[in-house]
Amino acid sequence: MGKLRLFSLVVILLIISVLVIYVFSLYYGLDRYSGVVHDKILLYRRTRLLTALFVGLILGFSGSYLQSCLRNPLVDPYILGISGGALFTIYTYYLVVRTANMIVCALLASIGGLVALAITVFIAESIGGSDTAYVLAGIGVSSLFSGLSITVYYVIISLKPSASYVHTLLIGSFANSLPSRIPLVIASTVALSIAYILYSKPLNAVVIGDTYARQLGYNPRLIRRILIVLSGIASSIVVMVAGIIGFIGLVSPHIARLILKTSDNRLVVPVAGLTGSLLLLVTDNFSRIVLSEFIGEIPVGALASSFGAPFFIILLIRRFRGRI
Amino acid sequence: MTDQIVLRNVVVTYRKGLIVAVKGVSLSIGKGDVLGIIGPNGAGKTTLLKAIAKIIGYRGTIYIDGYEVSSTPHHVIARILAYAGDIDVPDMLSLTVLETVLTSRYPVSKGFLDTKEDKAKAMEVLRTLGIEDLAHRRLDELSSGELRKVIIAMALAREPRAILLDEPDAHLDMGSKIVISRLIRRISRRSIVIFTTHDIFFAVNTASKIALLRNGSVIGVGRVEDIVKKDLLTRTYGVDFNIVYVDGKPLPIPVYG
Repeated sequence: MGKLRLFSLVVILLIISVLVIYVFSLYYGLDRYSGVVHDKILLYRRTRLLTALFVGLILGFSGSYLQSCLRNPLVDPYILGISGGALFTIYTYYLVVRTANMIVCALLASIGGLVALAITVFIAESIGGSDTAYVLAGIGVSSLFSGLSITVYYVIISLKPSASYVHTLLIGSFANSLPSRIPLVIASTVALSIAYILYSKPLNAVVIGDTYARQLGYNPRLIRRILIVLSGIASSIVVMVAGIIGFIGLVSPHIARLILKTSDNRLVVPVAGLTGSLLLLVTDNFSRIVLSEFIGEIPVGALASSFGAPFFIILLIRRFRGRI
Repeated sequence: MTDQIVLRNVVVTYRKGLIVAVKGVSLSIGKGDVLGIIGPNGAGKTTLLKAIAKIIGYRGTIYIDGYEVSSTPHHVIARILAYAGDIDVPDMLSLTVLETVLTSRYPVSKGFLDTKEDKAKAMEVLRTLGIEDLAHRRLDELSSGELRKVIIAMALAREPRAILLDEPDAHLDMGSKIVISRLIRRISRRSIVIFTTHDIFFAVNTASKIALLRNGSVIGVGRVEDIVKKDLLTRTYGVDFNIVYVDGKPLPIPVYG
């Protein structure tokens, strides 16, 4: 009972924080403007904030699913190479076609992300399948696709210097969020939420072990495949919408487990999603409102890596201290 | 056919028939019986348990309480039978002991969240095993002996009619073995219990029936006093035994040298 009460309290606090930040940043300093400018700024801010909010939810959900499905506390969509793979296909598509059809782009991004993930899993399993094997394989695959993406990026820029959308994706940012893309992130969030209702309970058994889960009447391979593919697609769509944002998917589930003092996915997943949202909203607003006063906006992807990577390193040390 | 487990000519193969792990085993045990399966490494003990629990496929027929295992869906099997084998715990993602034991009740507890009844049952099982003080510890913080008890608690938590325990005495000290042995005899009043072990003393003192398994075949099955015989044990293990009697119970002592 205690855990459920803690969960409710945390969820309520997180929702209130997200709403407060949302409303605050939507209207902060808006009274300086009027008429068409006022409306345009309001629309821009709303788009940007909604994108950040849903991207945070997606990354938190996906990170939790990937960690539980792979039984590996060190992974997220970025470390597994999904983001890199998605970015590469988006760039290649952009280079070849030039006009970006949203649905085709989302489809290709998902294929890129999933192919990269498949390569990571294949390499990791062929070198023993341990936690570190996944991290190492992921870093390899990530680097490969980042390198390729940057190469394609320079080709695109040389052909069409004003391709600002392409520029944003390299280091994740919400500055160029488009209203037309919001349905994509909402749909992804809905899909991940349905998966939560259907699979978060059996996922607890899957984490304990495949034999055990099968014995309880679940199909661990199916559950794992569905959740991994869904997370892969959703986090690829994140790349298309906001570019590469690393470590939010890694950090959010761990923060959730730390606060809730449990790894029960029924409790961890929603809190991880809301934590992701809160982190991204805070970071993006910090960049847009505070940093822009002094040095200009710094992309949220850069800030996320700046605080996410040290967290990852601490995790690594905690995970392996005294075990090697 | 009800209230018993019947195996007829059960065959389990691995690697597309290349390795025959269980070669036509037939057994039957009824309610109130505790069957101990003993035999050397690689005899097929664990494989046999897994076949009964429908974790791996088999040829032949297995009935549990009248249900034919291969044609009964997993979730139905899960409600009548629990298998307790090894689990490996991923650290940093591991649940607490209570939460882990609660997962075992998922097949019988329909809702999304654990009910009060689920929690009461899980705590009751932990108390029975004397590990209620571990309830809120994380699985990755336990000793191997404590983990063994948690695994048994998981099997008991959904009150199945048949319980399969794969080496329930592994990693346990002598005192804990006796605790587990008493517990098995107690749960046998409600459920059929089948266990495997490498400790013949544990088997003799716990089981009402013993099956000797070697190379996937049954060398002998029956009441303890009919099975704990020099010749049968020697055929099973390939070493000589002396039998001593303590309180009327035959205890086999392997001959070293």
